[in-house]
Amino acid sequence: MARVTFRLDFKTIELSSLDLPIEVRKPNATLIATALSSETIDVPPGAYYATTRLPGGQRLVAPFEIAEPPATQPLEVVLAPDPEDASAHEWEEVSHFLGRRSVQQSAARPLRAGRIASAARQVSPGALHLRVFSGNVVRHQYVPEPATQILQQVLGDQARLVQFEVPSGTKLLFAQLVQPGGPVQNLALPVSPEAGAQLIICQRDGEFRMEAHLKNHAADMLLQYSSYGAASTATVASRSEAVDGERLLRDKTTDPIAAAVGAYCILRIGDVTRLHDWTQHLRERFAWMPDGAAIHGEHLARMGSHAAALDAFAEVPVRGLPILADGLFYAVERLKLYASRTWKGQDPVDGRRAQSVLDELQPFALLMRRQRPISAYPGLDLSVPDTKAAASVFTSAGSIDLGKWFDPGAPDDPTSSGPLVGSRGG
Amino acid sequence: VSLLHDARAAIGANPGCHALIIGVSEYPYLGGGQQAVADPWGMDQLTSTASTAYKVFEWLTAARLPVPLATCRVLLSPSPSEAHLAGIADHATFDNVFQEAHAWRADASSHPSNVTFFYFAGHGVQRSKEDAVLCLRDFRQPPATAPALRRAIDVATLCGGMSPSPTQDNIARKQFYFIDACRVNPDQLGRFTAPQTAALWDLESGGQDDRSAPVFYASVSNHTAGAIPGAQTLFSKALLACLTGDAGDSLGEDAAGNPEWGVTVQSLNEALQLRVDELNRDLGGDQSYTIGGLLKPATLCLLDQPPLVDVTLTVDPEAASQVSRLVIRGNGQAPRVYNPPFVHPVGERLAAGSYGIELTFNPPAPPYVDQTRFKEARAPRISWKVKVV
Repeated sequence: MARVTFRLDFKTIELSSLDLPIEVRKPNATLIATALSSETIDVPPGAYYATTRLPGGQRLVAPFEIAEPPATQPLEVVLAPDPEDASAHEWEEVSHFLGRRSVQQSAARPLRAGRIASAARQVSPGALHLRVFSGNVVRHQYVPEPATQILQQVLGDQARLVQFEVPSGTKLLFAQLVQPGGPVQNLALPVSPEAGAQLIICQRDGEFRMEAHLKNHAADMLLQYSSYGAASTATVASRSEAVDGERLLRDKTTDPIAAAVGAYCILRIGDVTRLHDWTQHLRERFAWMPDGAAIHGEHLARMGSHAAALDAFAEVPVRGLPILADGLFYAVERLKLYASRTWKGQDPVDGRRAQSVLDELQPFALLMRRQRPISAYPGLDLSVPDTKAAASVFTSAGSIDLGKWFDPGAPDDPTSSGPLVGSRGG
Repeated sequence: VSLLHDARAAIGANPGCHALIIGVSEYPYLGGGQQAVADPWGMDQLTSTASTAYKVFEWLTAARLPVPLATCRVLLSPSPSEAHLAGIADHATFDNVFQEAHAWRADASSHPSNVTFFYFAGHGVQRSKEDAVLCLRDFRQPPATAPALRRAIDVATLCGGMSPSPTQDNIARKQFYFIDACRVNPDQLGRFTAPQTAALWDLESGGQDDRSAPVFYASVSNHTAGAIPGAQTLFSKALLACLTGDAGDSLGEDAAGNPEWGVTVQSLNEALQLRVDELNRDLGGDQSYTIGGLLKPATLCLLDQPPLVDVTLTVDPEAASQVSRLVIRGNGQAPRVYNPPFVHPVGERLAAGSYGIELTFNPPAPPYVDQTRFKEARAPRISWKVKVV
């Protein structure tokens, strides 16, 4: 046996330091081992290749050979993207490789949620607004925030893409993209109290799309793997310490969003024994985060404690809309069962109470899609999801005018027209 | 007649696979039916869903499963154009489904290493996103004042009742669900407050839900499932192609070092996305696909050989294919050599595995430069691209 280690060779340290799930196979594709890129594995002499697939759809492949007798020093296998897979810009590398994979978009019907349709191809100043809100949208307790002050523009490609940094905090934040006369999209922002979040607005195939990314890139990657059903890959990726909720809480971290992603992934792959009791801590310690209540509720339900699960789910509307879509759907699906079915056992479930909680969450579930891992839904009033178009004449104080960024007639050099908001460069 | 396969006596106390397959084409109370109601909610007769269910049954009886097929219960309501299926199995009415579902669950509860397989093809509706209501043959049976969904079951209750609990602690921990139905939201359903499906069973508190229980849905919310009239649904065509090889992947090696191949939850999910997309494109379908449920890794079936992969190789820029020599080598196969000019893009059907790709320019053809890549061929299809500038 020889020891094999892995090294990732991306342009950015953020990706090179990721804990990627890796498969080691023989040339005929026979699977020999799965590992995280931070792990060392033992492999018998022979020819192999290491491979990993990123959420963006790119595959990294590196062949290697273990001689007989094996060397005493570990063999380092380097995985790097091929030139044709590289991102256009270094600053775009994270979203390029960790964004929704292209195959998913082409395979499934085009996802409407999160996009603003394409009448907006010919935008002009004033024709596309970005707004920010905070608060509990489930209970109509939300307020506008000054988007121009909250969002920091990092960089962008004029007419194609613009990227913002969202500062850290413990408010529930939502971005809203409004095209006057067209649909309105709302997107929860996965803001970590430790590191903030990233918001990207891009124009692709004539449509505008909002994407949000966690600043914990391992959690961001896991979220994507998990959302498109890559069960085996997500199982390996979820072993990473970077998304180990138990460790994150034990270390007094303040990144409950990453912990929540780890928990949702474990719930998706059905490995509840790994959750121990830390979902309860997540719920109790981060009382502002709806996902903590949803996660603990689903965990309790999986353990058969349905009355206690209902208690947890009932906290969700009190806190607000879960940031991650899984939280809303776990709550709604359980509540529907609790409200409609007879329950046997010593742990009776209050169907009327379940129906009451369900009534508050159901309007959001009607227009959200679970395939989008971060909560997104349409509606100008964030508390009243609907598919109505915005007024054709629309003004909003404190919003960011994206029209001038995506205006095809704008100068090629984005800096010549000045940044949309305070720029940090990059 | 519903138990079309029964090997329980031979299997004894060992674990086995227990299947319940339902195919409904004939809906007497919907549009075009013999007793059609005045407002059938825009839902008409189907022509191929019973046939599709029977094809799935035939696949199941021939497949190499991780545990032997112990029982297969089948309920079919064929359309007149599916007369060859008449009388093969009992009708898929609510009462029959109720009875067979309980028998299926009882069999599944005999051993935690059992496996269950559920397949439904027919009409479906949804009350909200992530909801799937399966309409049975007597859906919309009068009186009109009866609860709207009383002859229908919902997937959440179906899966919930199959969960481990104190009274069914030994129920199968691997459960595979396939829902091949439209999930439309008829306007008429909006008249009702929280319309409920018929109760298939009560749900029970207690018991840890440690199942692998993926649900493969043919159609995402508010989209209608597609079919090839008189033949089979698009989803089943993709599904059966995947289960018989297109979704094949390595399961590692057996104790003797021989490679094992099969279809896993992940490989099936990924291959279905691709194959459904291809069928839509080739047949003009409007089918979509998604996965839900509990996605703990599991193997659905075993395959005799490694999968073949449809590979498309493109050279960037395309003009370079006129002056470059391409060699694809590896995986113990004879090299594929393409001398210039070669037809672009290159299409190959290769065994799964790793390949070296060499593009050379002799004589030199600036600005193009020689390139070498290592790429992986992964079923069912993959696109390779090589940039030469």
